[in-house]
Amino acid sequence: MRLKNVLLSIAVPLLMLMSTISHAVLTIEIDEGYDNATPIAVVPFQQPNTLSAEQDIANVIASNLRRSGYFKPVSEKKFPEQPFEVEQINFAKWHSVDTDYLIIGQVSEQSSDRYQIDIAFVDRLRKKVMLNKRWKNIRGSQLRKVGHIMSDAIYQEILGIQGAFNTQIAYVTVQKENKKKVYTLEIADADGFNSQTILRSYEPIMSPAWSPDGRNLAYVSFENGRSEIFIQSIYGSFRKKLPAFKGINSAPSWSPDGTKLSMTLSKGGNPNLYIMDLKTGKFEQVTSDRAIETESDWSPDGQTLYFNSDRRGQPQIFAIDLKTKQTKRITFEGGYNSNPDLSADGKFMSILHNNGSGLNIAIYEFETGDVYTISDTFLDESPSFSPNGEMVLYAMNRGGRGQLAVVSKDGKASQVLKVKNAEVREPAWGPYVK
Amino acid sequence: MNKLKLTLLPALLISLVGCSSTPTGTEMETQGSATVVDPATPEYSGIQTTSLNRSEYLDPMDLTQAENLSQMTSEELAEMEPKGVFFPVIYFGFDQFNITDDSLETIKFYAEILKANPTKTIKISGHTDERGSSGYNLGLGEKRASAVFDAFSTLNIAADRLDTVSFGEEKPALAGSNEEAWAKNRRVELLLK
Repeated sequence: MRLKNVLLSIAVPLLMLMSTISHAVLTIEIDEGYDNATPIAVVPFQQPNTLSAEQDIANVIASNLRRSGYFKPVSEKKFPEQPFEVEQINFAKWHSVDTDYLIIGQVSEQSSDRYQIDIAFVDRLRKKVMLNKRWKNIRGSQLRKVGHIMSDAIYQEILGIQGAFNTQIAYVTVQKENKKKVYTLEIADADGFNSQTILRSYEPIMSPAWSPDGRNLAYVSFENGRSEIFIQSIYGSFRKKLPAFKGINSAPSWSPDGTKLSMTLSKGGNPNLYIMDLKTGKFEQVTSDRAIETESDWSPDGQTLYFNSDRRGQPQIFAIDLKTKQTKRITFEGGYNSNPDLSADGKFMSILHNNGSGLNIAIYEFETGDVYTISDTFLDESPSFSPNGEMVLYAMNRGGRGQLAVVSKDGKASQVLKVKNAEVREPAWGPYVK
Repeated sequence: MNKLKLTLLPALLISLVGCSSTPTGTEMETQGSATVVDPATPEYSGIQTTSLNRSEYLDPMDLTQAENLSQMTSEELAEMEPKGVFFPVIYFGFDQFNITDDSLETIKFYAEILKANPTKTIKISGHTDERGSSGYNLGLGEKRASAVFDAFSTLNIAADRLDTVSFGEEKPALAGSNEEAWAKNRRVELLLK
């Protein structure tokens, strides 16, 4: 049972708003939500009317919670009152409203472009303040971030799982400018806002991979006519080309401690896995098969590499123990399994999977060995887990162009992220940043 | 005789080289075409990439050898009637990188040209359709280019005259997400230089 497009009407005013900000911004459409999503009342905050709609923290929180699929913000029209402090809540008045929770808050300007924010998360049934937080001296440009941090806290309070709203994503866009394809590497907040271009090129850009500290991206660029791996800082202008070998240099993935990079090189004649020690610059060959061995990802303990190989004819996921060099096949179900991305707890792996009805995103559960498809879009690829393992960001094709989608780990809630006039592909969800 | 016959081939090829200057062909040229953008700079104005120079890239073949044509007898010229000029593209099945008999004819055709023109080299670019993961497809494009490289090698073309590169699914020859486009995109492009 899926509530296809039911929530779209709620998202439309927000989309119109977003489209006026910048043409490069990612816009989000909610495709499907849970039937039994929890109603939640996000009361408009009391705040200076000089703030833009984009700086509306209540809106940020409501949108985040809605996007998770678990929550259903209640229409403002149903609010019997608009309290902005806990003391103002008249609980009796809220009996008629179908909601267990209230979120209220206020923003006041302390000095020029410096704000104080108070937000309370209230359990209406138990008449209990679950969270009451205050931020001081916050710049206007950081108000959305406060909304994301509060969303994470509320998500954790209700569901017992850390939220992933205060995180970033990386992706590649392709668009035509003067009949020429232009590729950009972008970073944006997890809700698509604040997108920033960190690389523009006339040649393809692929496979962005976040360093575990969230400060660097490794990626593949064809700017010199062939695939080469680069590391670039998110903040500042550090950029370095890694040693490039004959053939392909591709599919970088950081070790969990950030000291090594696994990658695929074909310098030995066939695409095989290698590990580069980023301190010493030394390369170690990990696999040496005649097949295509690529798209490696590390286990959280850094002891195992998961990758796909077509050594049995079609791509399947294998694992190699980095100490013993023992290889074992992981996936057996379906004729095409590739591009593994492990959840941070190592319990699941998101993969590209063909169960006979096309290429879709699936989850492999290590404990049971079960594989279940979670996406139902067209030409899916590049799955990337949110850092809390709850959602998977991936690339797909809709209406003849590449777009991104986010789907919950159980496949029941999903959203589409697209950029006007551009294709979007190769997404990677960044880690929690301390 | 055989030597004379081969000297004409470059002339026949001029049109082929012209054909390869489709969008995918011209995009192969790259020289410092990427620009790093510092996120600290909020406004990024325009593209700072260098423009491609089409004429430099195409590197037309040397036509002076066509003079040899006049030295051929009419009989020889009749024999020159092209039995088949091979378009410089080799196609593959889905997730395949084997060289078919038809493909081998194309490779032989270009191997003969290389033998007749010792200063020429050939660029072998492997491509895939858009289906499947891009990392795997980059590997698959490499496998396709390598298979063509190996075929040239068995025809005694020296390795230093063969330049392979894989673009995976990144540079489709034909836009579209359908069987027709996919079939055209699973390919190796040959480019004489």
